[in-house]
Amino acid sequence: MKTSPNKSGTSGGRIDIGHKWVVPGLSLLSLVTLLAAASFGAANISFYDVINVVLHNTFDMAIFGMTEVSGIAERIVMELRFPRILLAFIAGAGLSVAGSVLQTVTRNPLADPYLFGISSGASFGAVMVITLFTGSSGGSGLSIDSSGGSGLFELLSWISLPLGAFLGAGVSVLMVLSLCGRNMSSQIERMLLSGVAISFMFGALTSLLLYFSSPQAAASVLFWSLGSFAKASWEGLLFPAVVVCVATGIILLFKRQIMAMRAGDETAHTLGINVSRLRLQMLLLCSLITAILVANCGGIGFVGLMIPHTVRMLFPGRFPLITTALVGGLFMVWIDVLARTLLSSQELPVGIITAVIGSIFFLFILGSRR
Amino acid sequence: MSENRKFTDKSCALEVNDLSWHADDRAILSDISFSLAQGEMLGIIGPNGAGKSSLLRCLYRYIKPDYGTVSLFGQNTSHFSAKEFARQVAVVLQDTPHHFELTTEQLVAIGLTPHKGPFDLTTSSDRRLVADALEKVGLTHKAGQVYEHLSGGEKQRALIARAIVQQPKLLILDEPTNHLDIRYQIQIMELLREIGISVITSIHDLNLASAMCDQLLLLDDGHSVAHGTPKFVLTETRISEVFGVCCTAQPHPQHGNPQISYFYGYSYGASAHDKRANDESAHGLKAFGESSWSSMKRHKHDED
Repeated sequence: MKTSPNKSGTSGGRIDIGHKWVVPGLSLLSLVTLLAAASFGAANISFYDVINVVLHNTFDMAIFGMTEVSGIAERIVMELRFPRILLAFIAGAGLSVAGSVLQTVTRNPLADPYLFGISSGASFGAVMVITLFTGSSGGSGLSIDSSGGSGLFELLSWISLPLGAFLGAGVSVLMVLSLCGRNMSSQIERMLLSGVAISFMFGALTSLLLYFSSPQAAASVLFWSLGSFAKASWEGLLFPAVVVCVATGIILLFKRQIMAMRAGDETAHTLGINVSRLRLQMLLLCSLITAILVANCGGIGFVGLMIPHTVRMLFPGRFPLITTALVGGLFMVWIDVLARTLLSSQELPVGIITAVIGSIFFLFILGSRR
Repeated sequence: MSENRKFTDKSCALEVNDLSWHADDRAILSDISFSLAQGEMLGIIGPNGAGKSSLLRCLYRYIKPDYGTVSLFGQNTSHFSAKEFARQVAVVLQDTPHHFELTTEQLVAIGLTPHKGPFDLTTSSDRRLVADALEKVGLTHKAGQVYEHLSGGEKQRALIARAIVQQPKLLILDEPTNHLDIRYQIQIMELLREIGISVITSIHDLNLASAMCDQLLLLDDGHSVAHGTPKFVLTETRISEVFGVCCTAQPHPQHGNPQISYFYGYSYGASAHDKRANDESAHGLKAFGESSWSSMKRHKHDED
């Protein structure tokens, strides 16, 4: 997605040889994945078909001596699968970056974007929207299957769900930010505690709304909260892509400072870093990434926690932001492939698979390390 | 109390005037004034809770004093930006957190931070700076190892290398010899002398302070009790008054600064927390100490 400024800090030549190829290798793998993942799904479309579709659309030519791919397959690949894969990639990358940064600046290995109330705030916003709209339009305009019956309400609800989720996430983050204060010594503790308290508060409010809502609304809330990339579209991709890329770019500019935060607040202070301000800025950026992703894809847990840890275990002693982003993106794309193909008749929510596979994989790595 | 030393403004690296700081209505530092000549090493000594760390924190601007000024080469430090200040003053602390997965080399490279803008990459001259610092502290062979796995002495040297990379004019250390065996204690202190910049370090071991520091500042309960050369500061009376132990101070056979021998056998009565009773018992103990010291000397003569 971006070219890396290559080296993080300075490293001895011996170690670098291996690391030099990590980012280019992962970038290449991401490109291949983009094509390969598009050949999985309900409709039977082969890898060659995908390549032909891409070539046809970009260069207007066909290779492999194959006949033109059918129009329907082309539409599936171009309008459904590619945006979906890209959204999954962006979501995985964004959540991993946010998790990695938050773990570093709070020096808390358990910090993940959802720990700061973002997810519960977003859920509350989404549930508000869903209960309001199902109340007025009389039908769940939000479940995946209702692609028919288009109308104003349909469109409105389609836009308002991400919007509501984003506003909810924003409110919860602003509350955490206003509570954690600028006092360096107690900031981390206040950040985590206020995040947990606000999570529970919004969780309770969400439950209250659900308790009085229709079963239909409750079902669509449940599906949304488990996460899905099924609604991806080229138009819907723009905003998350811009936010994740810009925020990651800004974080990269602060790479040295974030790295120095690892040495402790007081040491970071003596290195000329405004510790409390940097931490608030990073929380704000990570919250923005997470809020936009939660609003678009629902709650996808465990990625922001697991991917940064896995990457750090594989490449100890670095702050490999680009690597983390690429690994997170790749992971999410293949999880989404699993979600689409595991059951033949329907797709599974992504959040369930990330949690199951993620936690098992994580335990495996943890166990194999010592 | 302090020796009458005159510095010209130019050679004065650090000058502290009437520094006071209080926390929770308790005075932690009261009216502390001292100065340090360029290239000299100042040891800050005093009992636990005397305010050594607080004083250092005021010096590196982690806490803001209520009153008084700190001047670095004639410039008031409160006028520096955070980054400017970090280019002038490097600090070695003991607050290294757990899960610190950096390699030694990466830790040392963190010292580049105040010299780098957001778009600056690590250049080959930066890398040379890091390599030189590692060589200076003798850790070149440990460059690729994870910092957490180093021994105590190596960790301390790595932190000093990080400070060297920061290219400061003044180096501040908070008890750099803590938890180290005697060989590493001496090694660290001699390393600090070799760097050749002004150094301020808090230190517990009075003999080490006496041997290694040009100047000592003795703190007690937030007050500056004495400031001057080790010979001037480390007298038997002062040590017994401030630390509440008896000792003799004899010239060290090698460097001639006071070498302190402590006496043992104190009883800790109920009045131990009463400051005045404490002082009196210290004087009482001193008398006991001198007599037992002379009897020990006599005993040694007998052996000869």
